Amino acid sequence: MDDELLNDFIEESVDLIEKVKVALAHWDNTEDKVEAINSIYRWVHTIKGGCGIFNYTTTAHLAHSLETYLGDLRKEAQKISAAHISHIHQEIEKIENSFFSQNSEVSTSVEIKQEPTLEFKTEYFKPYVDDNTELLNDLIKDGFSFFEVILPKDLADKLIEKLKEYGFSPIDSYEREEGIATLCFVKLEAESKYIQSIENLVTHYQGQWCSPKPEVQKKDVPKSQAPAQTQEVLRVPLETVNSILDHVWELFLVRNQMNHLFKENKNFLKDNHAFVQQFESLDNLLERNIHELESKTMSMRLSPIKKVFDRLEKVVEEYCQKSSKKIQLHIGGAGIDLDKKVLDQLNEPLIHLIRNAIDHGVEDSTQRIQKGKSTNGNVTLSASLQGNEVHIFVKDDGKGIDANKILESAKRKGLATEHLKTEQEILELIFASGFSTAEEVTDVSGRGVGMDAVRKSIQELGGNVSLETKVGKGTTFKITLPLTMSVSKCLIVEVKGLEYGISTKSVQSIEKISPHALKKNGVDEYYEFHGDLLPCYSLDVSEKDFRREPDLPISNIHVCVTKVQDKLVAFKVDNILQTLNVVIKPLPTLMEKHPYLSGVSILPAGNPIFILNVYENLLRNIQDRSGAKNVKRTA
Amino acid sequence: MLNEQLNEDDFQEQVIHLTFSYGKKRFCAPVDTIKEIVDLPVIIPTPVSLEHTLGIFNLRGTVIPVFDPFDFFIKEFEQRGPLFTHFLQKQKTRLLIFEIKSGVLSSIPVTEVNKVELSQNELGSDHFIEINSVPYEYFDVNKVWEKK
Repeated sequence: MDDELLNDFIEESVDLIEKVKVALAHWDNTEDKVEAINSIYRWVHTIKGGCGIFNYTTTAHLAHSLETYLGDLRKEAQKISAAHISHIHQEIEKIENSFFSQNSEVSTSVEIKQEPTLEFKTEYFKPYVDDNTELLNDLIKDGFSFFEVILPKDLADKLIEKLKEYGFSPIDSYEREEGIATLCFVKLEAESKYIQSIENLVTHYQGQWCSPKPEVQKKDVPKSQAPAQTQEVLRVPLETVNSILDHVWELFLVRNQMNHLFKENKNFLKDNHAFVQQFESLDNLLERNIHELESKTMSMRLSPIKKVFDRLEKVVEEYCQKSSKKIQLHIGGAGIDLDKKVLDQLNEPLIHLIRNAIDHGVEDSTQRIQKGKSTNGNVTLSASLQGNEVHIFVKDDGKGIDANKILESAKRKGLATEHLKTEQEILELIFASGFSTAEEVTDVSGRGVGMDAVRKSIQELGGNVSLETKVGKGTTFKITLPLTMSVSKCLIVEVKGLEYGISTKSVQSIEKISPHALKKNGVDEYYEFHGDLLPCYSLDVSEKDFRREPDLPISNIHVCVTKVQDKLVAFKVDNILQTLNVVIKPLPTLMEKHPYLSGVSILPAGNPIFILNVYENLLRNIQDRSGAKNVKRTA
Repeated sequence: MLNEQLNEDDFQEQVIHLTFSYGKKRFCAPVDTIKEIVDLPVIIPTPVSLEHTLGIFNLRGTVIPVFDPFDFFIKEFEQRGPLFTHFLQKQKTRLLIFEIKSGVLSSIPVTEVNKVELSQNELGSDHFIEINSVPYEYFDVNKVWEKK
């Protein structure tokens, strides 16, 4: 994981340095110089932060200097001269050179091949270990553990047979005076059911688990002797990846059509068994390869949000090492996959929010104890899918944000405050550029660079950031982002003759029933679910009925149960056709947006479908139907 | 031949256009504004009423909207429901696909698509073009979608 994070950091920093250079090169032609200098400032701030996490100390210091210089400069952006630009250029080049020289130091720092990291109770296995260093190192890397035992000579054979039954072959044995010294390896998680037996054996025969040594000495070697980096990275234009994905899907459709053609003509081919068999075999192979290709190509576009969350964990770890505050980071919803482009842009704002939470939000242990809180501050980072949006929360249980202090600070800075009526409007001031109530600028935050940058970054992604806070209790920042592309498991349902996709995350339970099984009260319908009556709504997306025979009665319907505003409700669909993993894309650009439509997708057969926002649809239904509550059974 | 008086038109660059019928009107558009012409595919109708939108279709993995910017088909669409595509098929309708800007595609249902070469003089500056004494309205893709 750390290697992956480091690679991401290196890539991101290279991008940011390049962005700064391009911005400087186009400075004379830039219309909005205030925005341009603010952007350069944010990028340098991000480079500095990342360098701090990954111990690029020299580069971090250089970035910090430049950040300070830019901080003063941006107060009077219109007066920035060619001399200033030249100076910034020189500084960014120093940062770049320092960055790459530190980077190459990291990559040339190699692990000296030492003895495998096994600490033995005895010296018996040293010759074996010396001769098999590489193998043992590989096994340790793959998560294998080793144990040594001294078995009584008369029982050794039987016990070794037992170990073999458990799947562990001894890799080395020596006959000694005291018994047969035996060395074995085991991958604990694979053979966990035998672990207790092994433990008993090891304990009984005075053996031990050979643990890896905690540190491996590193030695700088000249670049020429440095081994090549193990992971090669290729930067590919986004357009190319999109084009490949389109072709993969087309390939999939063509394959489906061929398959369909074959099935239609199977009767004519039934006497040619060999052909039919071969065709089916090749077709299966083709389908598997296409799926594999699709999966690999999708992985180029999508990435789990966990990657960003892992990085934030490091931010918190690093902070806790330098500070007296104790912070517990809780993470939820890390399994969501998002477009890489979105994730790249989310890094910066989330780092700012986390830093603000831990630096300004959470109190130190003494203050927390005085307030009756736990010693450790709690910061929660979570993500969830809601309809066609991703919601990301950064929540702390710290001191909250005092609207009065915000107002005072705004007045001191000369900002207009007369028009602000509500507390929420006052709190929105924290998103103003350069606004900070922090008494001191720390290495972590307080430059007022975070919140305006956060909002701007999120808005560039088509999203928004909002906050809720309570003085003394804590603050929650909520980032809402539209889904640009995601793979989601969907129910393909039929309503009034049209097929739609509904995310399975929207549905808790499904039942096929007769329409008459629903209880009625006038035009309102109710579905009995585990002893409770839930209001049941039609998923009335379409005003038109697209069924070929709309007057034909429906013998069965499917009722799905979901939660809307923390209450269980039911909705009905005419049919549930299948469950599929589909790629949800946003509605085509020129199409009018509608709250009931989350996006579009393409089914394997080739026809496109609309993806429904069930939540919005039902919310509207609930608002229309007045006074309905869950009815409790009385008998 | 060398003694013939050469017409100024003979030196004009010919620009290829496509003429087509959309609804009950004849239009003309420069060929470089048209990305593709496809035979009528399966059009999935929009379930809710969206302005000037008939539905969507799949073109090699890309979902493209089918528009009706002048609402010529809105009545048939509402009356015929699932038979609307069948109605279009009977008319030998094809879809004309435009690229409004990079990566942004849209389409309209058209019939009677023909190629014609026009000189700058013939194009003129009006919003309509006369071809063989028949008037064709000039279909400026960007203006049509800007208005809508």
